Amino acid sequence: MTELNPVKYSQDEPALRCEAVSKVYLSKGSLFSKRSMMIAVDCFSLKVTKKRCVALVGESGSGKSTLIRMLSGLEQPTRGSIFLFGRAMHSIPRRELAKLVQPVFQDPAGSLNPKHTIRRILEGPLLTHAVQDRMERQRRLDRLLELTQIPKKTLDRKPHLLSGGQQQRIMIARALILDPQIVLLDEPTSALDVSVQAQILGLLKALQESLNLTYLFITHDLAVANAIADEVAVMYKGQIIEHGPCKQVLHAPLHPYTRELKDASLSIAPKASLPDPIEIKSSADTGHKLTACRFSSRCPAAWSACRNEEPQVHMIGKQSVRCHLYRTP
Amino acid sequence: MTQLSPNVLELNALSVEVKEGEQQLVLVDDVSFTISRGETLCLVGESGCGKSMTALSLLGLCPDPCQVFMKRLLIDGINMTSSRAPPFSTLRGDRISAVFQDPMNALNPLLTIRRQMTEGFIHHDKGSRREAGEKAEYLLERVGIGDPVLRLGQYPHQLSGGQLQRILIATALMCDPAVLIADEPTTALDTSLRLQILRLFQELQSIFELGLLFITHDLGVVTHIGDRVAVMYSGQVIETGSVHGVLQNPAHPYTQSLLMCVPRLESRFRQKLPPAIPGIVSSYTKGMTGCRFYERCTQAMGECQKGRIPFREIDSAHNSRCLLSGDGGFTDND
Repeated sequence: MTELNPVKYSQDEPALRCEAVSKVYLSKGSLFSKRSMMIAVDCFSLKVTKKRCVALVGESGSGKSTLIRMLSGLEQPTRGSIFLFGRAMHSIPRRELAKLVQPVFQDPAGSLNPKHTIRRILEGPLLTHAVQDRMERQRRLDRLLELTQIPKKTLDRKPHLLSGGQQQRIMIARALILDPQIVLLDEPTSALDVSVQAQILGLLKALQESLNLTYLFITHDLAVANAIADEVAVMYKGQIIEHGPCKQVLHAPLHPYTRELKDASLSIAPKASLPDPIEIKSSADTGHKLTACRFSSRCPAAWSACRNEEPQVHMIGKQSVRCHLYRTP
Repeated sequence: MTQLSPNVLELNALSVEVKEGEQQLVLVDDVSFTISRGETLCLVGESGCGKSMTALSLLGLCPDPCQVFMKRLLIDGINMTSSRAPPFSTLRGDRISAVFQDPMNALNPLLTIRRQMTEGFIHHDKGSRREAGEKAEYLLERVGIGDPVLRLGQYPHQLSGGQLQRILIATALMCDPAVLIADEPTTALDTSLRLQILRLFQELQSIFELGLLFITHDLGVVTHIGDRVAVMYSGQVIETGSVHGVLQNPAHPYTQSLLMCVPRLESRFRQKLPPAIPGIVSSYTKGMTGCRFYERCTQAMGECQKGRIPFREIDSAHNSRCLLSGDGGFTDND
């Protein structure tokens, strides 16, 4: 197959590097209210090595989706910079970016145009990127259908005739048709049933191995992260509060918030009683004090320092954790 | 009200059919179960297996083109299948009520919480507007909403998803129902919120002695909240029993593979990917026979395609609709 004007990238640099990326939204002030500030992503730093899968875990409102929007070029960071294979993202032209990074979103039914056939949806990116040769387009389609295990007859159907699992396969195929290096997966299985989820996770894993892909996998389900990721980064209110190898973060979490998340995930092991829920006192407030730990209002282990000083990142073995409990006196 | 049996809900042989072109599709096929006072029955299954259709039939809310058949439906001692049965609308919100999946869309954005909470109470002539307000305040406090008087005056957009779900639960309890149907009430919520809402259901159930029909696709939720479980596949209940019995010793091949599919956290080392069930759920038309899981089953045999597969008893409370389950001893539950 002829290459599609491949994008030059350095093999030694990490596939994705975020350096102190922040995104701040300003609300429009009116006659009666002041302009208010909403910090969606706050000094976010993360490195994703090539061919690895990093799971980003966190509850809704932790800034995961804003991050995906910035990484796919839909939104510009307010501060900080993003590097793809060592190149600053803002210096990469739009068309080239599409051949490096592609997103897959949560709700496949909402992401597929109901009036277009699957063929048109999958061919769209190829036409935009000027693959004129009809045979060449067909060859690419055939290869992807085979990789994503979509029967050929679905090409002439419209999205609403397909099941949720099939639709998500189409979304994955659409993301892969330009041979990207990095795939951003924004809760790709949370709208699916368990048995379909297992199929899609298996497919994603197989594709990662055969196409040497780098994944940033957003999920709120720790068990899903455990099944697919090499590393886990836990986000809370726009910051990474813990990051490390999957095994360590999920089985020996350091940060109180990660522990809370782990306790709140329900296992199917019999005789387990319902864990005690943690009282959420003020999870709704977004205008947090900037000189405090973001989690201090909910944290069972909070002490005076947590409310007055912003915690630094501490390294414990291979895990990094942003918590005052681990500071050296 | 006569309280002859301990069961607040008795459903016998429910079928829901819909005509699609030439074919008569069977959405729900021969579903029977009972729920006693203070008991939780979990209805588990994947999307399209008929869980929600079953719930809607119990409320008399099945969409128009569907044809609903049942041998018997008893709600809190009232026989809804007899010729003198009262209309469903007199029971709905009163003896039987429901909480649905998406709290954001379940409330009218133009009406205050007070108006929406008290509507059913006043409609069913349970008391005056003032009494309704007092009851709403009491219930909001019970479900863990601080400052109920303030909340009652607010509109849905002023509250968070977790708060709205609590309000909906309180609303469902306004007329002291005997049966509460919860249709995926935690699916739209975050992990930590889900835990709080599940705990709330448990508390309320023990206070109000509800018969709870909890519909979910999450086996983790079933483990923690259910007393008994009914697993549905393609419109049929294929396995029923105590939560412990079914999850510990699943008898039906579908239940077995469903349990294998669930990604787990507790495995000490990095586990392999969960094995997937090959194929997809096929829909069934009237007159088709044989096991519905046949095409996807790894243990299928020739006999599985013949006739109706009856329930077989594993022990007194555990039944499975599979020829391989138990050791003979047919117990057709009809």
